Amino acid sequence: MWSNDNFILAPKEIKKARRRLLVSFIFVFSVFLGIFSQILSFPFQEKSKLLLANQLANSVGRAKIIDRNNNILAINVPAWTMYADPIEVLEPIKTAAFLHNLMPEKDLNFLNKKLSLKKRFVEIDRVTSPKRYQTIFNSGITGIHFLKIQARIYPKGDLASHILGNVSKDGEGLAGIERHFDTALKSSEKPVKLTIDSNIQYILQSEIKKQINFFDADAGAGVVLNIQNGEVLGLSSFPSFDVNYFGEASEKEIFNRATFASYDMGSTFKLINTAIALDSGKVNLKDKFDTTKPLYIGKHKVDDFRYLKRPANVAEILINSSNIGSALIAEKVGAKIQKNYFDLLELTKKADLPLLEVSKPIFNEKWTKSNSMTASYGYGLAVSPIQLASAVACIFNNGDFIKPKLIVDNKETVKKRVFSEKTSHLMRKLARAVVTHPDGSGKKSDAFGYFVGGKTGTAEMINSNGGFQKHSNLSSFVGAFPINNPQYLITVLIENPKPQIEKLNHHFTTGGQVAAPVVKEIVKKIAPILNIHPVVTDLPKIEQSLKLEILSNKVRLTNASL
Amino acid sequence: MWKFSIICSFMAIFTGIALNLISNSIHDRRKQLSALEKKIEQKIEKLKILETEWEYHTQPDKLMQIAEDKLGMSTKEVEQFGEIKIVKLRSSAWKLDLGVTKDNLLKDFDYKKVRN
Repeated sequence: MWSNDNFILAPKEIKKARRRLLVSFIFVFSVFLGIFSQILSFPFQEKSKLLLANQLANSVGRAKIIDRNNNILAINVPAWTMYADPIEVLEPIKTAAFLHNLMPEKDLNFLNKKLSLKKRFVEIDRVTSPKRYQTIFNSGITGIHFLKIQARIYPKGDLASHILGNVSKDGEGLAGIERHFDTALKSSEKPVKLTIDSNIQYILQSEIKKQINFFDADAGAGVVLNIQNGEVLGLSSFPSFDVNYFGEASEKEIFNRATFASYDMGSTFKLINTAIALDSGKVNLKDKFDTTKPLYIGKHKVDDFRYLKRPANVAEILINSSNIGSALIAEKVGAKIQKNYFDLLELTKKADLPLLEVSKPIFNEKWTKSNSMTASYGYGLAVSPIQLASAVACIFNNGDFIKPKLIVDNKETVKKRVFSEKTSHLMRKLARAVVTHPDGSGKKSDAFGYFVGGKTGTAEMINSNGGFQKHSNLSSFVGAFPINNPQYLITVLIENPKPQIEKLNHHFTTGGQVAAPVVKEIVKKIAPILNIHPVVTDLPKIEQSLKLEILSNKVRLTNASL
Repeated sequence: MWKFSIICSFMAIFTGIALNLISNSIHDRRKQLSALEKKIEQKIEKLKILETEWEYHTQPDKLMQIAEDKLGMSTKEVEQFGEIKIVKLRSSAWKLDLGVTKDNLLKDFDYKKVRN
C-alpha cells in the first residue's frame, strides 16, 4: 500500500521536484498568457480590418473636378490596360485582326507589329473600357492580358479643356487645375469645384468657334465673368483639344490663349484710358482734343482709321475710337498716374489664377510718356484676355477691382476700390453709347433688350520678329450686360480673321464686324441661363436713362458706317 | 501535482477548442467582409462608370441637338418675350367678385389664395 508516511523523499529530490513544478507552472502560465493575449487582440484586429474596408470602399485614386452645377468634368473610373505577351500569342495575324475589329481606331499594321515583337510585355491599349475588356476576356484569346488601373476620364471632351489641364499616365497633374490641385486631388475625396458653368462654357466655345470658321481666322479666346464676385463662368481658347486625347493635341491647341497669351489689345484699352482720365479728375467729359490731324510722339506717328471733322470731346473720342484723341487724353493725365491705375487694376503683374499657364504682362518697366500715350489705345502693354476682362469689370462694377476666381470657395469676395462710383456710372453710359450711337463701332453687339455696353478693338498682330503685321488683326470686343445694372462681362478675341467679301459684301475684319456679333449671340443664349430677362416695355425708359447729354445721335463726326 | 496537471491540460484543451471556434467564426466573418468589400467596390466602380456615361451623354451640345431636333426648341428670341399687359384675356378672367383685376395681376396678386 502506498502511503505518504511510507513515501519519504530525500531533501535533494524534494528540491528537484519543486524545480520541476516551477518549470511546469511557468510553462502552463505562458501558454495561458499567450491564449489571453490572442483573445484580447481579436477586437483590435477586427477594428483595423473595418478601417481598411472603409478605405477600400472610398478609394478612388483621384478626386473629381466638377463645375458650379456639380456636373463632372474629370473623374477616375476603373479601366484596364491591355497588354500582350507576344510569345503566348499563337496566331498574331488573326489576333491582330480580331483586336482591330474590336478597336477600329487601332491601326491593323500597328497591332500586327506589336504582336510580332519578341518581348514579354507589349502595351496594346492604355485605357480599355470595361465593355471591351469583357468582350476580349470572354473570347478566351491567348496572350492578351489586362492590368486593372484607374483611368482619368473627361466626359465632356473638349469642354473647358484648357482649364482642366491633364494628368500623366501615372496620374500626376501636368497642366491646368489638375496640376495646381494635384496634391489636393490625390489626398482628398472632396471634389474641386470650378466656377465654370458647363452650359455657358459650351456656348462661349461654340460661338467663338463658329465665328473663327466663318472668318477663316487663326485662333480665338473668350471670357465670361460675373462682375459682382469675379467668378469666371466661361473661359475659352480656340483651337482646343479633347483632354482624353491630350497626347494627340498640337502645341497650338494646348496653348491657353485666355490666360497664357499676352496681346496688345488695341482699342478696348480706350475704355480703361477714359475711365482713368475721368476718375483722376485730370480730364472732363466735355474737354476737347484735336483729332483732325495725325499726332507725332517723337518719330512715331499716331493715326486714326478715320479723322474726325472737328476737335472732339472725351465721349466722342471713345465712341469714334480715336487713337489720336486717346493719346492726347493720356498725355494730359500723365504717365505716372496712368501707371498707378494700371498697377491697381493688376495689369502690370500676372493674373492670380490657380493655373500654371498664366502669362506675365509685357511692357516697358520705365513707363515713359510715349509708353503711356500708346497704351491709351492699347499698344505697349500686352496683357491676357482674362486681365482685360477683370480690369474692365472693375470699371463697370462701381469701381471695385475683384480678382478673377476659378474655384468655388466660401471665402468672402475681396474688393479693392479703384474708380469712384460716379466714374463707373459715367463709363456705363459711354459704353452703351459705343453700341447705340450712329458713330459707335459696337452696334453689332446690341442684343435687343439686354443693354449691352462695351468697346470694340482692332489691333495689329505682332509677327515673329516683334514687328506689327499690317494685314493681320486681333479683333475684339469687351462688354457688359445689362449695362444699366451690369452683372456679367464678356470678352471675345479673334486672331487674324480674313476678309469675307463674297459673304458680307465688305472687307472689314474689325472688332465691330468680327467680335461684336459673337458677343450678341452669346448674350442672347446665356442670359436665360443666368436668369436675366430681356426688357421690352421699359426699354425706352432705360435707354433714356443711359443717354449722355453731351452726345447727340444726330451729330456725327464721320461719314463712315462700320 | 497530478491533479493540477490534469486540470491544466483540460483547461488548455477547452480553451483551445473555444478559441478555435472563435477563430473560425472570425475567419468566416472576415471572408464575408471581404466579399462585401469587393461588392461595394464593384458597385462604386459601376456607379462611377454610370456617372461618367451620364455626363458624356448630357454634354451641352448633345442636349442642345436633342432639344432642337426632337422637341423643336431653340434659343429664345426677344420677340418671344412680352409683359402681361399685352396678353389678351377673356372677360371672365376679370371677375371683380374674386378681386382679380388686371392691376392686381400686375402687382403679383395671389390669385390662388383668393380662390381658396
